Amino acid sequence: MSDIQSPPVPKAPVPAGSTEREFTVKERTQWQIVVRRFLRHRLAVVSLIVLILLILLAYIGPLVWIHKLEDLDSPTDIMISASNPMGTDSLGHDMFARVLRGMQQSIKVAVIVAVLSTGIGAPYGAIAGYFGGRVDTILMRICDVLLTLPLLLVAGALVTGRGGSVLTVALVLGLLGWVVNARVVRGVVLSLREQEFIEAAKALGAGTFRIVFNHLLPNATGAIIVQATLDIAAAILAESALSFVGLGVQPPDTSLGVLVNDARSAVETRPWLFYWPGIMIILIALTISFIGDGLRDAFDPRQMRQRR
Amino acid sequence: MLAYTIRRILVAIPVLLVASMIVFTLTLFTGDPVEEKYAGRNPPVPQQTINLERERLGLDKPVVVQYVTWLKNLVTKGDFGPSIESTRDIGGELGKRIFVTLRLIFFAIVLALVLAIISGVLSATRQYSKLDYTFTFLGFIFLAMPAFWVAVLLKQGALQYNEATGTRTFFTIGERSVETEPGLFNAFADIFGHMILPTISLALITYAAWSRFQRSSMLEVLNSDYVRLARAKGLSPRKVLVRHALRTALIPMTTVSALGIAQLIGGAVITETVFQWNGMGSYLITSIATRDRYAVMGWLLVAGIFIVVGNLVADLLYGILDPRIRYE
Amino acid sequence: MRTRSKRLGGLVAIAAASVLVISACGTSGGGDKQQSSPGFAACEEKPNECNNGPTKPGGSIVVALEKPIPNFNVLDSEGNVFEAGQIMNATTLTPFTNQPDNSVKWNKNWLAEEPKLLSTTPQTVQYKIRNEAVWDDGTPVSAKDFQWNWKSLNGKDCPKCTPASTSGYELITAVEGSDNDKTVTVKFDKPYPDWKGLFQLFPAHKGAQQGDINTPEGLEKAWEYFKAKPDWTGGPYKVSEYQQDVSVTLVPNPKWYGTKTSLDKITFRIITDQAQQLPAMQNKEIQVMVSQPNKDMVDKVKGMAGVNFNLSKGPTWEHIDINTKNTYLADVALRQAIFTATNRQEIIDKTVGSYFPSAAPLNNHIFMPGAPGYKDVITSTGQGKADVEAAKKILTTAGYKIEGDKLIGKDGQPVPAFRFRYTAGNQGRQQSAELFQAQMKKIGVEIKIEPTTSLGGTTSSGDYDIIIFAWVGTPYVGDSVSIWSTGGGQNYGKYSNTQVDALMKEASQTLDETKMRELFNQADEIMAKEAYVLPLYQKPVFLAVYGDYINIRNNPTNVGPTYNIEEWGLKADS
Repeated sequence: MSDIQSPPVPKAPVPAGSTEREFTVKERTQWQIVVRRFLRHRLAVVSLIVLILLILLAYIGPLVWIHKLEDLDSPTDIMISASNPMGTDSLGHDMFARVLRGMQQSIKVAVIVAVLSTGIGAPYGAIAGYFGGRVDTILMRICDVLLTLPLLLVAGALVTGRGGSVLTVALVLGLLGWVVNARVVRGVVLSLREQEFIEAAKALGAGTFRIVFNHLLPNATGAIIVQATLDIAAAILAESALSFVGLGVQPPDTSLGVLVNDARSAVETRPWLFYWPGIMIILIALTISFIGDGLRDAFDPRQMRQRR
Repeated sequence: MLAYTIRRILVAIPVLLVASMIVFTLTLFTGDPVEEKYAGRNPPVPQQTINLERERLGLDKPVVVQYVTWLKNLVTKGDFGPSIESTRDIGGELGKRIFVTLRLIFFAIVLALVLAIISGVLSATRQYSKLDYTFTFLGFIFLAMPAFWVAVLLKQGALQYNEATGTRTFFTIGERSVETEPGLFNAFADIFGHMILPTISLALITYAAWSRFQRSSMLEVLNSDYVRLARAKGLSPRKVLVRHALRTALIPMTTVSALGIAQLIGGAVITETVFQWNGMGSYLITSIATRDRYAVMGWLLVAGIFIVVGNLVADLLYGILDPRIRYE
Repeated sequence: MRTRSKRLGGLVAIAAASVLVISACGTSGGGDKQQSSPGFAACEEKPNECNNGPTKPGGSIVVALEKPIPNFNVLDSEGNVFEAGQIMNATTLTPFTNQPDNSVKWNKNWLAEEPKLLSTTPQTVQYKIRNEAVWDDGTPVSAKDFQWNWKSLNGKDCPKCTPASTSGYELITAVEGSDNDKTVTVKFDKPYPDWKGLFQLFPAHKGAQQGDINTPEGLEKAWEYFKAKPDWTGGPYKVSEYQQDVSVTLVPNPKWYGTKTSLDKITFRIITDQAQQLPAMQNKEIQVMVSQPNKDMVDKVKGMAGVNFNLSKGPTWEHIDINTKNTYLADVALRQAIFTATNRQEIIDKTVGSYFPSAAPLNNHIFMPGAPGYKDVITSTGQGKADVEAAKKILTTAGYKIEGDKLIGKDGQPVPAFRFRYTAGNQGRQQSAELFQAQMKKIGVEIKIEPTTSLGGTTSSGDYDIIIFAWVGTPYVGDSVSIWSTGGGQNYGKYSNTQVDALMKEASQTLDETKMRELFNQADEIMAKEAYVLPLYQKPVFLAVYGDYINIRNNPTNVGPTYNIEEWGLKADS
C-alpha cells in the first residue's frame, strides 16, 4: 500500500462466504464462458488490443526504427521532428528509440515479476491452504517476515556495487511480491479443500502433490490469473518507484522508470523527456489493469449484473 | 478474543526477530558505512578518526557480536544502537518521525476513504453506467500513474494557481513555514497550505485502489441472496442500500484500510521526498543511503510493529463486524 | 553554438520549440547561453566584488541547503560538510577566507593586521587580534582560542577527538599568546606552506566550561559540546533556532564588532531533493539557491521573474582516471593512446557546455586556471584532443594491432573490455561515459559502462579500470600530495613514480610559494606524460537569488556563498 511499493491493488475477491458455492458448469465450457464474458467487457477488450500493439511496438519497433538505442547522431534537444518523433536529449539520443527500449525492459521486468510471484506464490499458498494447521501457520509467518522487509533495503543490498540489471530488479520485486499471490491462493484453496471432488481424489488415493497441482491449482486459475495481471501493473509502477530512489535498472541500460526519473527537473524546460515515458507507463499499467478487471468479471460470475 | 490477541502478539515477536536478522544481514552487503561516510574527502580523514568511528559503531567486533549487542541493548535498555551520525538518537528520531508521517497520512486516508466509499457505491449500484465507467476510468488512471508523477504534476498546477492569483496559497515543501505572520488564522492557513498538496497526492493513489475494492465488495453484496430477499420483502431501495448492502460491504473495506494505513506509515517514501516531509519514509531512504545500519533496523521494528498491529486490528474488526467469524 | 545551428535543421522543431522558449524566457532576456543575469553580469570579470551596493536595514532571507547538518562542529570529520560550513561561516572566525576567485584574503573583521611569516626556520607565524574582537558573551577572542584549536586537532592531545584533518596542526610545536593574549605566535616543526588554511576559532572558554581543556577528557567534552546547536557566536550572526533536518535560523549578533549587518533574519531551509528547489524558488519559499547545476535547472531559473543567477567555475574538477593495476592499463602506451583519442571538447560541449559555455578543458592536475602556478601540462602531450590517428600510431609503435574494431594486444590476444565506473544517478557523468565509450570505439578499445552506488567503496577498493569523478579543490594545494604519491591514501589508481614522489615531497615542505609551484608543475609534467589522470573541466557552481537582495555572490570554493554573510542585505531604494 506504500507509494514506493506500488499503489495498492484490489485483491481478487475470495470472501469467506464463497465456501458454499459449487461449480455447476463443466471444465470445458467454463473456459468458453470466461472468454465470452471477457469479450463483453468492452474496455478490457480494447485494452487487450492496445497492449498487444504496445508490446509489438516495443519488440518489433527497434528492429525497424532508423535510430538505434546507443546512436548519438541526432541533433540535440529537439522536441519533435520527422526522424525524432519523441524528440532527443542533450547527447543526441533519439527518445523514441529509448522509449521503445524502456518499454521492452519495463515489460520484461513486469513479466518476470508476474511469473516469479505466481510460480512461487500459487503453489506456496495452495500448500499452506491445503494442509492448514501447523504447516499453514509456519508458512504464513514466513510470509509475515517477508512483508515487513523494506523493499528499498533489499533492492539497495542487491543493487550496490554492480548496479541493478533488469534481472536484479525483477528478482527483488518478485521475491518480495509473491506473498500477496500466496495469500490470495491460500484463501481460494481454503474454501476448495472442503469440497467433494477433493475428498474424492483423496479417497482414490491421490498423493498430496497430485491433489495440489492437478486439482487445487487448476480450480484456482481465475484468482491466479487475475492476481498475475495485477502483479504486472504493480511491477511496472514499482520499477519506476525504485528508479526514483536510484535503485532501479541502472544506465546505460534503460527502462521507462529510468527515463521518466532522469527527466524529473525537465518537466517545464524539456517536457517531451518527461511526458513520453510517463505516458507509456500509464498506458501499459492502465491497459493491464483493465484486462485484469475484465478477467475478474469473467471468472467471477458474482461480479456480473443480475436482472432485478 | 483476548487470548487470541495475546497469541497473535506473541507470534509477532519471532517474526520481527527473524526480519531484523535478515535486515542486519542485508545491510552487510550495502558496503562499509565508515568508508562511505568519508569517501573522497580531501584532505583525507586521519586514520585515528576512522578507527574511533569504527569503534563507536562497533564495526571492529565480529558480526554476530554486533547483532547480539544491538539486541541486548534494545531489550534491556531500550537503546536502538549508535547512528552513523554521532549526535543522532535513533529512538528519538523514530519517535519524532512517526508523528510527522501520521499527520501526513491521516487526512490523506480520510479523504481517500470518503471518496472511495462514495464512488465505489455509486459505481456498484449503477454498474456499467456512464458514471461507473467514469469512476472506473479515473480510478485506473490514478492507479496507473507513478506516485511522483502525480506529485510533480500537482506541484506544477499549484504553482500555476499561485502565479495566476498572485497569492501563495500552496506551499511546495515542508510541513510549515519556519516563520509565519502572527495570528492563529495565518498559522492555520500556513499549515493548510503546506498540507494540501501531499495530502491530495497520497489520497489519489490510495483512493484508486480502495474505490475498486469498495465497488467489488458492494457488487457482491448487491447480488447476494439476502439483499434480494430484502428487496423482495418490499423495503425501499434506499433502505436496502444503506441498511443492508452498504453495512455489509464496508466490512472488507475496514480490513483493507487497516492494513493499508499500517503499510503507509513506513512507505510514503516518494510523497515525503517530493514534498520534503521528514517522516518515516524519508528516514528509511536516508538511512539506506548513508548505510546507517541500526537506523534501518530501528525503522524495521517500528514499521513492522505497525504492520503486525494493523493486521491484528484488521482481523479483529472482521470478527466484530462479521458475526459469522469467531476467534478463539 | 553547435546545438543552435543544428536546431535550424528541422523546421518543425523550431516552430515547436519556440513556443517553449517564449514561456521560458522571462526577464533575463539575452542569449540562449548566458551565464549570468544582469545583476551578476560583472561576476565574470570581478568575481570578488560583483553584485555589490548599498543595503537598507532590515529584511529576512531564506537560503536553501541541499543536505541536513550532521553536527555544528565543522572541524569534526562528520560536521565538516559544506552545509554546516555555511552556518558556521557566520559564527566562527578564520584568519583567511577563500574568495570567489579562489584566492585567499585575510579577515579584517577580527584581525588587526595581516598574519605574517616571522621566520622560515623554524616556520613561525604571528597573528594580531583586534582589541574589539569578542565572543557574544563579551569574552575577548584570544590566543586561548588558537590553543584549543591546535590541541583538539593535532592528533596527540585529544586522542578521542575525531577531526576531519590533522594536517598542519600536527606540525605545530607551540601556540603562544602575548600582549594580553591578543598576539598569537605559532611555531612549526617542519615547514608547512598551506599555513593560511589553518585555524577556525571556536570559543575556548565555552569549551572549558565542559571540562579542563588541558586534559584529553576535557578536550573531548568540549569537542562534543561544539557539535550541538551553538549558543554562542564570534561572528556577525548567531543561531537562534534549529529544527533538525528542517531549518536553521540566524539573527544578528548584538556584540558584533565588524562590518555592520543589515538583515534581521537569515533562514537556511534544508531541501534534500535537488529537483524540489526549483518549484520552491519559483514559489518564493526560498530566495537563494546554490547548487551543482544541470541544464534544466539553469533554463528554468532563467525564466523566473526577478531572479538573478550566476554560474562560476570552482576549484572542483572532473577527471577520468585509469587504474594502473589493470594488467593491460599498466602499459603507459595504452594509457596514452586512450587519452589521446579522448575528445574532451565533445564531452564538455554535450554535458556541462550545454548550459555553461565558458567550460573549457582543464590542463593541470594541481592548479586551477587563473590561480598563480597554473601551467598547461596537457596540450603538449597531445591528450584529450580526439587525435585518433596519433593514438593508433602510439598503439602500433608499441606493438598493438587494430583489426577491424578490435584492439589486439602485444601477445596477439584481443584486449578485453575495460570497466568504466561512474556515480549512479549523476547524469553528467553517465553522459560523459557514453561519449567516452563511443570515442574509444575508434581505436578498438571496448568500454563497459558500470555505475556505482558507492563511489567511496569503488575508489578505495580500486574496483574499476577507468573511472570518472571529481576532486574538490581548495586554494591550498599541499593536500593533494596524497592523491599522486606512491602509496598515498587517495591514490586510488596506484600510480607510482619515484621522481614525482620526490618532487611532491619537496614541494610540500617549501615555504617559498614560487618555488613550491615550480616543483609541483615539474611533477605534474611527468604525471601528465604518463597518462594516469586526464583532467576534464572545472565544475561550475550555480547561484540564484531574488534581485531584491544585494551583496550575495557566488563563491565556488568550499567556503560557499556565506563567506561574506555580514554584507548581505536588501537592496537600498535608489
